[in-house]
Amino acid sequence: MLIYTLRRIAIMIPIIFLVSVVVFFLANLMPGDALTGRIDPLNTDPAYIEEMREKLGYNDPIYVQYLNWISGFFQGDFGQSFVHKMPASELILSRLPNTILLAVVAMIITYIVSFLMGRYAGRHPYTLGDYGVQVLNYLALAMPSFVAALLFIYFVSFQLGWLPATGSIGSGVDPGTWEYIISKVEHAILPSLCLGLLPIASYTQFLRNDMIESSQKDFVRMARAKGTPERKIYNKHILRNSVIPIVTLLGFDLAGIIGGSVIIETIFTYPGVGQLFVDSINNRDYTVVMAVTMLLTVMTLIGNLLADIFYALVDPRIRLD
Amino acid sequence: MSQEQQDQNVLNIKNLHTGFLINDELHHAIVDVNFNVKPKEIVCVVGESGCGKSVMSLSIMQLLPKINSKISAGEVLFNGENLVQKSEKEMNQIRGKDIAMIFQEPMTALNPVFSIGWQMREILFNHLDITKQEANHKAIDLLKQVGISRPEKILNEYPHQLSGGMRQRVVIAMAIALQPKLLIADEPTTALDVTIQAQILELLKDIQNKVNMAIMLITHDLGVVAEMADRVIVMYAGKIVEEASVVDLFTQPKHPYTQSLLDSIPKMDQTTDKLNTIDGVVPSLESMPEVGCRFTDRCPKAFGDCPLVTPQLAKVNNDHYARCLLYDECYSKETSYAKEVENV
Ligand SMILES: Nc1ncnc2c1ncn2[C@@H]1O[C@H](COP(=O)(O)OP(=O)(O)OP(=O)(O)O)[C@@H](O)[C@H]1O
Ligand SMILES: [Mg+2]
Repeated sequence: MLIYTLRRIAIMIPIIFLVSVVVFFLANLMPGDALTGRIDPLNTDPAYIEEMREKLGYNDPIYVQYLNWISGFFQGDFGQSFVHKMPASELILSRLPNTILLAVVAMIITYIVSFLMGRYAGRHPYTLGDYGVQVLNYLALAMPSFVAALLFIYFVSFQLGWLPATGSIGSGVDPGTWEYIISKVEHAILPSLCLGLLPIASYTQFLRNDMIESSQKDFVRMARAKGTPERKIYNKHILRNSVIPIVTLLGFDLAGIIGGSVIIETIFTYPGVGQLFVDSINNRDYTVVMAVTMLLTVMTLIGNLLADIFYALVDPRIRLD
Repeated sequence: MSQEQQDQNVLNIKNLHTGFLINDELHHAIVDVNFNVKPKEIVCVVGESGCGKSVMSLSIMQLLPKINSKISAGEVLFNGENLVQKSEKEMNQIRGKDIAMIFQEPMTALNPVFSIGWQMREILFNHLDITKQEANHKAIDLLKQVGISRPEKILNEYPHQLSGGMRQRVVIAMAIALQPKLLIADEPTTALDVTIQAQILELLKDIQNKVNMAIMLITHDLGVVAEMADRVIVMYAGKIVEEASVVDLFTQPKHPYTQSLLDSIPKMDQTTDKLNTIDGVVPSLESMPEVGCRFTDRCPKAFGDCPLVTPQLAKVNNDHYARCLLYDECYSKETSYAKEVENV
């Protein structure tokens, strides 16, 4: 397993390298640069702009620019954000905890809700309760996440006032206190729910269908013939088999949730990496855009690796080597 | 048969009817099945694919799929108690303990994500109040009984690590764990290759001698019947068409269907290359004729009455029963020449 993991990590390096080439050249093809984004070209001395271009290396051949960037990247230097006047890495690091909190809460909500709903529907298929679950699922699948976000904000926040709809922390709470932690989590719930909506619906459906399918399997009939009570047949024999596919999805979701956070964080004005990404695009802060894209790439790769490792952990038939 | 004799039987099946709901209509896969299994006896049930053998065994175990099937009439008396009327909870105490069952597919009968040890302990925990350690000891002991060497190692392995023959041994070990009075084996060797098949049958016979259980062995292999059976039940399209001791059945088969089955066994001294087969197939549940003999269309000896009169299972010889209008006994009084719909 360890050797397998190390080998997979080794394979990641050329992939990251390839992605970096694509990201870099795409970013360079985009119109404008940090200077056009921040400086009014009509009111600024062209000589000054030219001087800055020279200083920032914008006049170097593109492959030299790339090599400078990528060598910095491997040393942990993602370049400088022009807008925020600080290293891109620092900027991302300051936003990352919020996004990670969002992802973790989203995962927890996803797994708890879909496990409960899927298990119920799979245990009692074609009953009223099952149909209810199905209707919820189709709603969640059909509704774009930003529409869901607006509905949540309107009803849960404004009408009911249960949960905050903007920001990541209430005003006037000190870090380190209980209130701080609670406030953090409260602010993460609504955006997490929106992020989790799609996976909740698909996992619920997945678990339900897999349980119905598993309940027809020979080993279930065998367990019944052994005198195993129905409750245990569902909770052990069937569930243990049906949970395998959704546990393996966990890794893939990590990437999906972080991708989804780009939209959701913007709607909820939640200061995470996703919002930073959108802001940076608007400001043509390409160093940050590239750094975030690279981060997403690495997360996706790690997610895939985790998925494979989880798979081997829960399914005795899979051996990694 | 006297009441006293009946009480001694492990299993009495009386007038059993089992049907499936197809398009909201109940179609019977088992019709008017009556037979007994005596203690320590091996009864073989034979018949082509689709004639209702598995449905019958699931009816005994009360393991039919609940959504689309039901036992519409009849009794399954096990030690005198009617299993059809038992609750799920009561059945769970009987299944695996008093009646055990092994299935055709050893490859899929074990749960792939639990170790062999877990699955063996499960049946013990279902019926006994013992510790994990005691259960492991017992499991090892059982695996030895079914001829598995190094059982300690097997306990920690998973089904995919074992061959088909090994898995079927494990399944048998579980089946005999609580010394059941009756073992229902639904084609236990069909999926295995010939040498393994012989070993497993040998093992079943061995164990049956040791623990004194009755076996109801379902098969469509007449070679297996000849080797194993005390008594044979021949089924066709959901009905018993012949019942006899194994010797009688092979030496003087009464029903044309049985005769055709016996004819279809390839013989060493056969001069032609052609195998004798029975033309046609078992009718599907929806296309079952309501009156007359269900074998008529395929029967080489069919005559005028066959499609019109429903034959009854009747005694045609000592301890030999058949359901065929070639024998006058099978025209029963109530139904003779009456075109009435079968009383299902
Ligand atoms: N779950 C079910 N739903 C509907 N019909 C069924 C179901 N199970 C069995 N049947 C029907 O009942 C009849 C008897 O099937 P059964 O499985 O008992 O045959 P069998 O004698 O065991 O055949 P085989 O030798 O192939 O195992 C068949 O016509 C089959 O189509
Ligand atoms: Mg069958």
